[in-house]
Amino acid sequence: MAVDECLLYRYGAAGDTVLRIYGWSRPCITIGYFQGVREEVNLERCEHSRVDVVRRITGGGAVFHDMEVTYSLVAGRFPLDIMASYRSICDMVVLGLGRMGLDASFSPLNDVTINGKKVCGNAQTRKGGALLQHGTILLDVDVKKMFSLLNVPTAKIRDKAIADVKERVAGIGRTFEQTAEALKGGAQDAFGCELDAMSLSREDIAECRRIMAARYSQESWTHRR
Amino acid sequence: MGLSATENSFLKKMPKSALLARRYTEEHEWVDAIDDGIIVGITEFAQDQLGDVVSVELPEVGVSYRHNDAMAIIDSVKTSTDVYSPVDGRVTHVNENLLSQPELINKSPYQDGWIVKMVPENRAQLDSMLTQDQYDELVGSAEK
Repeated sequence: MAVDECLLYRYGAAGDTVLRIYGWSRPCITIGYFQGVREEVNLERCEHSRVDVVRRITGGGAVFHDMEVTYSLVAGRFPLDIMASYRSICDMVVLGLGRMGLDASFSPLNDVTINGKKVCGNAQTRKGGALLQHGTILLDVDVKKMFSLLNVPTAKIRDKAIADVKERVAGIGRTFEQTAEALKGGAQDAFGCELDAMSLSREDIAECRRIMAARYSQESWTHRR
Repeated sequence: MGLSATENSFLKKMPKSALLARRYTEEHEWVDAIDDGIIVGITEFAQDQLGDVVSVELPEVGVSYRHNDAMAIIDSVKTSTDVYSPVDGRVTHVNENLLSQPELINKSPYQDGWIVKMVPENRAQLDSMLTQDQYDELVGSAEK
């Protein structure tokens, strides 16, 4: 999260576009900026299962990150029209999945679907004149585990929610490496550009550490609502 | 939002051009002069772009911001976005109704959906904001 925020302010706000593709060293839940952590997450069960919980700066809902490819895209220039910006960035995913032979399509507002099932969700924020979009491409889904960690009001609703999500959400059944490579290709196809590999500079890393210390490693940040 | 300029030292110092008509920023915010400073909100175009507003985070009264500092956050069903301070100035009031009724920004962006009231420090910043015609042009080019 700190790296994404650093990229937003140090690169996006300067007019650059950066795509970051990453995974998680262990499963994690992120909640949307405006969500209440206790309302959304079963914190005791997360602690028992060693699942970290962190608040994002992007909006949207709680996400259980496990078997997935996660990306963040920051851009200093982007369509003002929010729907157009989602379409443009989700095209990267659609074309990337297409490179793996998967027939995906953009499903407004901010999903990508295959055969009507959601395989990729997205959330955005606009700060400092720049855009940050977080997205996840599901490789596989363990709905039962997800609902054991997220709060659902009653057992009855939980069973229905699990059934609903199984019906509506699917993994793409590819490896992390295949998907990450395809996503890079999708970005080139969607934006008509070549990608330059970049590493964080010493200054970037210092800024990431500063952001992490000030925000994401603070319990008060994630528990502020 | 009447102008009682004679009663207010801030307004006495204000150039008339900055007071007579609503001004706008390139970030799609509007600024009106009021008795003791300015009132700030987001435009009809901005609320339309955002779609249904679901939450608003407001600044604390008394805090000072520099021009273009992020001072509030609006979360909609589509995205979250910062609200930037249109001037160097201090927040004197926040619209607490937005905490329980964030939809006021959609329903009434220029009236009940106002976001903050501020006392500006730098009058020249108000004068350099977009006029109605300039803002209409900006929105017109954004919609093409």
